[in-house]
Amino acid sequence: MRIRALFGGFVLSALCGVAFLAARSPAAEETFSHPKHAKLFVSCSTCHTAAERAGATMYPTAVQCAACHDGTRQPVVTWKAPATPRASNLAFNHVQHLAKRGRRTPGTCADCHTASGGKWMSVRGPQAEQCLTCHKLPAKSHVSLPDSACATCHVPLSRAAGLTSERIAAFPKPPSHDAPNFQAASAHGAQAKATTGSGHVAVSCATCHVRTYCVACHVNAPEVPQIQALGLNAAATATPPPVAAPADHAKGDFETRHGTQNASACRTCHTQESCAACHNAQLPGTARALFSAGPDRGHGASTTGKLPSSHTPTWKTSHGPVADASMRSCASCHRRESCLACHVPDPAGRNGYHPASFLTRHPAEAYSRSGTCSDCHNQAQFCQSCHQSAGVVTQRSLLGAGGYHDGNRQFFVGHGQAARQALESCASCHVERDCLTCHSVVKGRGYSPHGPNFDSERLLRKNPQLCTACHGTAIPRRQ
Amino acid sequence: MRFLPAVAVGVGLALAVAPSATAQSWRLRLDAAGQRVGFRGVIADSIPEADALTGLSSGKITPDGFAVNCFNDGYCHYWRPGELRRGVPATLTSDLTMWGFGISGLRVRVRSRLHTDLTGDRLWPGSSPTTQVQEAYAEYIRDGWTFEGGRIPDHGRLGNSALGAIDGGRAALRLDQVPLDLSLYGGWGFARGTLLSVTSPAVNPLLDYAPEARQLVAGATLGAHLPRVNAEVEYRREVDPVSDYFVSERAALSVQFRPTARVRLTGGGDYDLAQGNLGTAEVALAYTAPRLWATVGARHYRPFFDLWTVWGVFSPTPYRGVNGTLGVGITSKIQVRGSGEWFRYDAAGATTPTVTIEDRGWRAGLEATVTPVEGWTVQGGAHSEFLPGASSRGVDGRVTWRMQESWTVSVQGGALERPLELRFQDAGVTWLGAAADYRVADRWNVGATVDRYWESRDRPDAAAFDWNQWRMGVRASLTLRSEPDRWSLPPGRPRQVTP
Repeated sequence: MRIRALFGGFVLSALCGVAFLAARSPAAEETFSHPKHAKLFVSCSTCHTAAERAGATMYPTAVQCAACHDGTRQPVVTWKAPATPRASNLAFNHVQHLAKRGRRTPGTCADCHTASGGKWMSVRGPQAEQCLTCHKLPAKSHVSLPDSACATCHVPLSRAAGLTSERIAAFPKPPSHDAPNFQAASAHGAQAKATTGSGHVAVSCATCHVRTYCVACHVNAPEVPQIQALGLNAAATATPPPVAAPADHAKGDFETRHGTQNASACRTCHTQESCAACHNAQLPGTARALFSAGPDRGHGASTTGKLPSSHTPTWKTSHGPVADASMRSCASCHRRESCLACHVPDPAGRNGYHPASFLTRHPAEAYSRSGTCSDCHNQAQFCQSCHQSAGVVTQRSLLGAGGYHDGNRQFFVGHGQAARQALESCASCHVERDCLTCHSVVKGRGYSPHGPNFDSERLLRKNPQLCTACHGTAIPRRQ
Repeated sequence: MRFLPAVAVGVGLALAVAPSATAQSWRLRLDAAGQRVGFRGVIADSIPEADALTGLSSGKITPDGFAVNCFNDGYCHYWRPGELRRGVPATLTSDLTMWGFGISGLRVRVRSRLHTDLTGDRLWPGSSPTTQVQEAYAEYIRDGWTFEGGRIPDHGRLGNSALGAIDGGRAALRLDQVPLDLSLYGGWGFARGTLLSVTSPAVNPLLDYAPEARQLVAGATLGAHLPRVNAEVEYRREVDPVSDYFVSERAALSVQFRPTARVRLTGGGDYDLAQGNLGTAEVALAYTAPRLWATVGARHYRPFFDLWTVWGVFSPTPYRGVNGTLGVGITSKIQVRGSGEWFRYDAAGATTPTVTIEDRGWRAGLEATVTPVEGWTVQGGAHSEFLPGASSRGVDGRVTWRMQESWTVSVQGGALERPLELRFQDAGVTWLGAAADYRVADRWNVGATVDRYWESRDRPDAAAFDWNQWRMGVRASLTLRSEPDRWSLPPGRPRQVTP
């Protein structure tokens, strides 16, 4: 018994709930069947007064319905006129249309709202093809009409009322948009500017698009009057499909050429930030001419950093001359510290410029200067200090006399060629006084150290102190 | 001017802590490193000539077997192995860049390093002086102009490569209408290859000819940057402010020409106006394709000495050489590279019949890189150098395993022989080592290395010795920064729809 009572209560509650929801449903307010009332009304304007008279209401009031639906003759209905205008992007004016048609032929609502041959009050929504027929627009599909035709029936999307995002996203796409080069400025850009002057945008664009659609790609949107003329619509959330990079970006010389072209061509799609994907240390001048990402600008084309083609595996040892010729090109990607990481010797670091075995290998590299050691190492401060620790710097004895060069006992008297070929190596162990013991006129034995093509006159002009160091005041002059 | 670096550092720190500068942006990178090294040299010694014995090869030796040289001065001289000395050099490098002081275009950079040797011995080269301000300058960029002041970088062909700096200022103008850059700079310079003044005893221990004051440096560069050509002309003079004489006067030209996307011609050279000769110059033609890169070039090398030293008047002889490299990506996983150079010295004008010195040489190398599977890299190579003064030949290899972006572990080893033309000994070394790097977090890395060296100095007397040692090192790198920074670009802001 108790179970039955519970079950009955449940069913009753459910039915009440359904009834309540049905009564509350807005659909119930709009379920007016025109065909059922076909015998009751002889004129559309009985209820839709605004179709014939400007300023009137487009829908009947509940009082008019209650004239019949009074609970006695007919059940009471709870119909209410929509509080907001019907969602539409049409620029249709019933009064004007009826008036215009009326000048030529008797115009009726059924001309547009009933199919040809349809019964009275078999109402339907207007069909675009019907508009085209009356307006004598020669097209099978209304989206393929010329630009000027859109405004005949449509308002710009920014002024369309009540459209949902889904409905906007379902707008048909004109065939022109499928053209292979449609993304090019010469295509869609030209179309946007085609029919109207500066500060306006083609109606064909504005009918389906608002500014936010263009901003998704156009970094320079705030500077393009056609885009600014589009206006906004919060419900228009559609974004354009991915845009492929222009064909010239794939060409082999694009890497070297892209920085030299006019920035105005780049600023449509690229922000400064997209350049910084590669040029992350210092933006080049061309990049600085671009816009930076910000409100109402697109973030621009996505770019990924990659090594320039010049940076081959041997680049580490060959980049010097290129850096000398175009340091600013290097500086656009490399921070100063990345250069100093290798070029400043770190006595506590191992994995620097030189290989692990370099301590043993360095005499061979240093003697013939495979690199320019003195770029990073001072001969006295770096080389001599280490050689002194190794015991190979001597200021007590001269060359040969128990000296380091014991591979040839006569090295002392024949060292000239070796010295001239590797003078930096000499200076990494010897101080000047060692050599001037013999090679100075005033302090030594006067053996001339000057080699072929020694331009004494030039040096005398540049720095005579250098001459007096060995010659004193009796500097010999060329006759 | 000796206080200029300290002033620059002070200004930088003041800006860093100033309350009004709380909105500034900055980036600070700290690198700490230390290594334990062994060092073994030789000690000059002598014995009375009467104590010298005659060895098996009829040469003179000491009673304990060291070959000696006797020069009829009553003594015979020789070298005996020195003691094994150890050092633990350690460095802390800070690199600070600050910008956003409320003045658009203003940036301050300070890079400094602390040196120490934890043993207190400082035997490892480059361990002194204790503090080194490598760069400390303010930079202001506006409307194509760039102004720098402080301890500014001294780059370019005539500068001391990337290391160089001068205490002074630079003004540079980049013209937008024409592709030209013009730069003028001046200040006080340093000795070559170091940030020590030329008046420092470390640069000229005996101070025989050291100038009394730092040299004044002034120079200009003019760069042209066309779509296919980059060129830069430099002029630079250094003057002793006390004597008003030149320390150096040079000019240089650097050119890069790209006739096609894959071909690049680079060249350049410097001319010593003070001595009237061509310094170092080179030209190279490079071809770069996705799996093939090659270069051919020629080089002229002559060492450069400032006029405050007497080394330049010894007429250093230049050499001229040709070189080339070839790299081939056989597959996407196998890459082979080869390089070679041949060169010959100009006539030195100092040859003697008693000593024969090679006047030409060559060097060549071949290496390969194989990436068998993702994360693994195997590298190996061989090189050989036959050069005047010293030669070497050897092989080396390395296997690297990179795990999950955080860990990188490598094992390496090699062997090397090094004959010395001017010494009565050969040296050989074999080494094996391992290294590990770990990225603790974004911009926070640590690493450690350990190597074992087996080195021998080979000669047929008691002076032969081994120099075996362990070498260990640790390092850590930390980068701190404020926002925003281009390392982490701000994403394009989402569209802000205002209906």
